[in-house]
Amino acid sequence: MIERFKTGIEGFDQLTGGGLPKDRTTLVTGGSGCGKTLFMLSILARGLLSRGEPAVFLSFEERPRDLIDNAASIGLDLQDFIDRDLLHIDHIVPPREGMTAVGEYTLDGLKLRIEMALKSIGAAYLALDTIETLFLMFEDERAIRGELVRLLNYLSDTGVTTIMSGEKGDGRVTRRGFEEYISDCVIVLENDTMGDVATRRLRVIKYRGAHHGPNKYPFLIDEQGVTIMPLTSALFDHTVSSDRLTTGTAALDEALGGGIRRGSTVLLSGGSGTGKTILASLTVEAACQLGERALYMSFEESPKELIENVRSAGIDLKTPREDGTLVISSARPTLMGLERHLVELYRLVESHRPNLVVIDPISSLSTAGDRDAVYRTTVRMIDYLKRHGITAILAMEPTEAEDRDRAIVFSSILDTLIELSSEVDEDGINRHLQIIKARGIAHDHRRIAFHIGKSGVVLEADDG
Amino acid sequence: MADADDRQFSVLLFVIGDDEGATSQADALKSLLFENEHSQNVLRVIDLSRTPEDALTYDILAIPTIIREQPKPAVRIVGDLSDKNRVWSLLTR
Repeated sequence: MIERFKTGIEGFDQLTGGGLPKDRTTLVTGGSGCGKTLFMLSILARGLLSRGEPAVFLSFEERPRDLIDNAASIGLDLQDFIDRDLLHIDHIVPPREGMTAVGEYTLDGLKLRIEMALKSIGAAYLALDTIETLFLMFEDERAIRGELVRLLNYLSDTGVTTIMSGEKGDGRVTRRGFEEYISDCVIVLENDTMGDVATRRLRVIKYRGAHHGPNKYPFLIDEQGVTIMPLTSALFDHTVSSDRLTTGTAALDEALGGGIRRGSTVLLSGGSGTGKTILASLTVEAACQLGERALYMSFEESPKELIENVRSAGIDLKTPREDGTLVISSARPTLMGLERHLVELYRLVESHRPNLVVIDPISSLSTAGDRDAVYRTTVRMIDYLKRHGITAILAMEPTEAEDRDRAIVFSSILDTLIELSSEVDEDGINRHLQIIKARGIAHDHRRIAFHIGKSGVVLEADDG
Repeated sequence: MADADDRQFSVLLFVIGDDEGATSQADALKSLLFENEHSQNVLRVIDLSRTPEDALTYDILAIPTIIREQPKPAVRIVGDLSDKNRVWSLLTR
């Protein structure tokens, strides 16, 4: 059984089942700008230093001043740890005069320096950023390989845990093609740019003695630090009052055979102005009145606009928002990459712990990525909510026939599909909804007319 | 045997400990200086196990490291002295 230590990175400790291996070597690899340095600094700060566990950061590239500044941008106060003798940053600069190798040599000078740094603050954790610099400095790849193996084995034998960064190679995980073999755990960071939107992903490709999957996990680096969205995570303890959630209108509850089944996913599909937001808000209002917690992710309206908009139909989202049972998050889809929305959902769910989540409209995500990516992201969102037993209502605007096909593809993971429509004639707006699908429920298949007025939403069975 | 240039010539050898390897490197460098008509006084052997802070001052990563401090510009050689001619030509560059 490998001893592990927690990295303090939300999501990462879950997906690795407890963090990184202790007294061993972990390699963090990836292309330039993928966030290796900040990832390592975050592990040090949140996983070790904040728990009073001293660590040494050996930088071959950035100056200590720059490291401190960059860490501050993601909410890490390195200076404070330095002042408290928990962190020691050692900066190794290549000699100005350059160097020439003649014959054999060891890296015992580096080893001595590491020992000194560790000893100065009593640290058993070391970060090396990046070992690639050693190869560039010394040029003799074979010699440096041998010396690195010797050094890492020595550190491991003396109870030092090492986290080092490496460079991604051309078509392979590491530049030199051997770094992954001398490491017990290998983490690959990727940074793909699609359109103007950057997407970060993390993969654990090796974890000696522990189970790891082939999955790529979206992650974020921002002012709140590093956040990773695991595919599965610990379930919450929800106090469940009943196995159904009311939609907020008795007639629709009845048509659905008693309301929305808890933990199921409902898709409200319909064009603009067909009442998707109103119906979703009605359910949120009813849920919050019964003491449930709800999250409303609004992609097209600000929280204020949403509250105003549904108030005209007699729905009050202001009260639950003020008393904290409802969180409304609003973000323009184009401003954030798809993966970011996924991580944002994860973050809000982890912090607010809702029983009900509305995403309105999920189709607007298509402005943040191509269709297949949107589809994959949506499936991930639904899957994540389902695993947590969270009831989800997704609004979707089918703009093309293709979207309807896609809705059918979705339907394998959807429990309930309700189509909304509206026509304008001389009597005003005629609204209809039809329950296309309701898994495991003897539901009403008929088109149901409904009205939205000041007094709320009224349904009536349509005999026609 | 001292050469007039000795005042402008100074060499540092960095080793760790005083084992056979370290001693033989120091000896080899001394004899190289002698063969080339320099005094051994131009050489200073620095044992980093005694003065580890010198590893920081001189940015020493590899052992052994030879630094020609004078004349300027400095010259840095890493590796043993198996190729004496090469070492000497670098030191007198």
